[in-house]
Amino acid sequence: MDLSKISIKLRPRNGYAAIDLGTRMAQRNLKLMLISFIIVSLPLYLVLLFIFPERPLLITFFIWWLKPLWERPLLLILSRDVFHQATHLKEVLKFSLTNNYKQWFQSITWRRFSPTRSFDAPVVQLENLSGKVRRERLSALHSRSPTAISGITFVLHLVEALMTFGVMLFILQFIPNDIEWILFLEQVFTNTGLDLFYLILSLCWYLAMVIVAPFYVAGGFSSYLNQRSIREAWDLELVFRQLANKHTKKKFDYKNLVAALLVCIFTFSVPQGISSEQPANNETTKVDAYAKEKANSRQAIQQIQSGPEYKRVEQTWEFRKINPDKPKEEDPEKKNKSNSNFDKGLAKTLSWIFLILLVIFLLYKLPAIIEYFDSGAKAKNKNLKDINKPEQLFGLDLKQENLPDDIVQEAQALWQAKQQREALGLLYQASLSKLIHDFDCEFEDGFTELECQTIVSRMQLPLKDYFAELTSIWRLLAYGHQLPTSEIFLQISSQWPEHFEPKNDPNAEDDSSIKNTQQAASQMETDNE
Amino acid sequence: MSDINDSTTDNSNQEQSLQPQDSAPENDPTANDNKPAAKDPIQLCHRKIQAIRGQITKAIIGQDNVVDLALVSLLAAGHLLIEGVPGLGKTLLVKSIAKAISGDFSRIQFTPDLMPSDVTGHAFFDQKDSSFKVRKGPAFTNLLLADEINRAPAKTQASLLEVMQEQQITIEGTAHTIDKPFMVLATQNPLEQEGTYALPEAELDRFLLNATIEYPDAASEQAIAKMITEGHVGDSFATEQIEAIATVKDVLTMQKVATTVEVDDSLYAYAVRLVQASRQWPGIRNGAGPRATIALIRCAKALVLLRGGQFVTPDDIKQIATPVLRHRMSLSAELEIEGVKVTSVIQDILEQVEAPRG
Repeated sequence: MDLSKISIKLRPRNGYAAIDLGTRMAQRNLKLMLISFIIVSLPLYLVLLFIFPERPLLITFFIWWLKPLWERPLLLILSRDVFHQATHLKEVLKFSLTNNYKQWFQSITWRRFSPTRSFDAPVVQLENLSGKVRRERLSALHSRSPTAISGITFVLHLVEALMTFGVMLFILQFIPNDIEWILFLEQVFTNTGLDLFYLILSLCWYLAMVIVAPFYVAGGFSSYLNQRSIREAWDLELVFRQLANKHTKKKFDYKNLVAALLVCIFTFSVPQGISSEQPANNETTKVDAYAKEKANSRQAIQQIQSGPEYKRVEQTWEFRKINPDKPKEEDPEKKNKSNSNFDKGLAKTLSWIFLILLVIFLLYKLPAIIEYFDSGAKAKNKNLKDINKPEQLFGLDLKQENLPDDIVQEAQALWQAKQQREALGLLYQASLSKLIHDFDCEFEDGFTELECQTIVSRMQLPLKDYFAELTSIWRLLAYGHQLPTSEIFLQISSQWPEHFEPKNDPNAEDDSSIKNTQQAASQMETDNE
Repeated sequence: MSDINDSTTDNSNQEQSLQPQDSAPENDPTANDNKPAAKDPIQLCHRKIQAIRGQITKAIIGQDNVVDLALVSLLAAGHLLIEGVPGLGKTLLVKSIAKAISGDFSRIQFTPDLMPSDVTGHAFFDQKDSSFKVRKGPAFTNLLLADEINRAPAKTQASLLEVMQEQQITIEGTAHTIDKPFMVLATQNPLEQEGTYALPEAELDRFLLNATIEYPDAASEQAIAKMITEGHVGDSFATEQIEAIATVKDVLTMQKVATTVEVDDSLYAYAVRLVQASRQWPGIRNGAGPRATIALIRCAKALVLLRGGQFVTPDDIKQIATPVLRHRMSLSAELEIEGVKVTSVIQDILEQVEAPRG
């Protein structure tokens, strides 16, 4: 590391001024940093989106989790830029493929939620430290207050969240509700298992992540440089080096060299008598002149100090804690250090609490996560559709599990019990439930019976004629209060399983259906008599 | 003609047709489920009203929807507010109905200087008899066309309130009953707003239905041009071609029969849900009142009679909901600025309010 080549001005800065410097550094390299982040992270994002199109948010969360790895090329760019070295995309790619995995596991696990992550990253990546040495190094660097970098971590997370939702709302605001191509797109996305809303949210999140990352990395890196500059007195070192360089240059200045040689030659060539007297006189004259100058200077200083500028009296006041038992003055450096330790301890404790809570939450949700990943591609089409299927429509409970196991038997039993409206209602309700869940009919809450029937007819389902007949009978009963005859009900109910129930064992089902129908018919005839 | 699926998926503001044959889906075995026996009073009335309709459509071509709404209004003993640009046959419509039912017809052109007494009539002192006599205004009729009703000031518009609600006119403290049936067909131009007085909510609420009359399609317009210009002098249709095939007494009978059409309790609840939703819907400044609920049921019954059904279904209520609710609702300023129309809000309500299932 050659400090003389450093491109930033070295001076002790406070935490926030260092972050300001980082922002400037990020701005200078923004284009390259954005492209680098996208190049290393986007391929994985797209591949995951292709494999799990139904969970775009989860994928972005995963990309977000791996952010420490995506940030490393950005740090490489900044670290080279500080010493006036340009970085090319090719180098970024090479770095990503070869050197990007130092202590990767630690970075994405227990160090992932460190509030000083971007500050600590250079110690691993640039100094190649690990284990105890890394801890000691970080401890030394954290001795001054790391509050600013923790604060910027929090603020940038907030910015990322706000940007995500802001951009999403901005996009959504410009999408009209009733434009056909939007509906078409939604349809396309639904068919491919993608939810348009979550996809937009996911993309916005990714976009926010891309934009915020350079500033986060640069803020941490500039703070790190500032800490080192303070602790290792880089600024002084640089000044000394510059002085040394100047001195070295002077040493080899030919004019001086020639002058010195001439003086030497002149000194040794003069007569001995002159040479023995002359120095004593010169010496005396020099001492007198120096003493005189010193006395003058002192007089001048006293004169200035006695002036009005040094006689001004100011009154200041401040609150002080009155503690007569312990009237000791607190060492400000010690105080700073204790504050710093407290901040560090608090941040660490909060991180651990968060990590523990996260682990508990993940363990709690583990069965659901396993179930989700197990369902995989199967869930992609079917479960997503099921999620959108209403459980209640037209004031009717349409959950399949809440319907009786044997619809026909139950309906016929109700009919025999003179509950004709309930019997026909059950058949109709079960039909709607089956149409929604098994035949993917999309009904709205405001659809009437005829509108539902029209949808079934348009879908060219094999059962459309049967459903039309059932609807007709139901409408006559429901609104015209005209009861169908037992024969009609028997016919319509016995035909129901043929159209709505899967035929696993056709023979057995037919037999039982015929048997039930015969029993019901004979019972109804008895009732009618 | 619309079909049902279009009405559910397309948010266009086109009114749904009230014609029976197109309301049922294809291959609909229920098409006859609402048909009565041949000698049923509803069936007889249906035939009569269809005959009247046939006579009216001789003159009014390409405006079937407005004709049907006018007949629904007549059967439900209500009043109709028609919105449309001039020259689309509004006067002809009223004349045709009056001719077909052998009723009286009056037309008032509302202007800014029109006085209430010009509408209702007034008392004057007859020097010959030395007594006050009542000169009845044009409102004493069966069918009253109030042309461009919003051009008259509020006090003149208000002169119609009593006759529309009570079907009587009070002149000099004496109430004069109007001959029944009585129907007001008022028109207003939706484009011209200068020099007009918006109808107050109280008056709007008294109109049972609000129909919009649109330009006819090309084929209809061609047929109109041919019909008017062949063998006729001038540019208006000769109503002599319309036969008086019913009487005002028939109309009164049909109105009574319409009240007997069966309505299930769930449909009353549905009508209430719709109207209440119109009050609570986001972006609505004023929703419809209880008169709208009553109007929904009355119009649905009349619609069933027009179609020849026997009982009201949710489809009848949905199809009549837009003309019933449109003039009773007003949008908030935000929605108006965004260009949202009341009809599209009503469509949303119809799609999202739970339809009954018996």
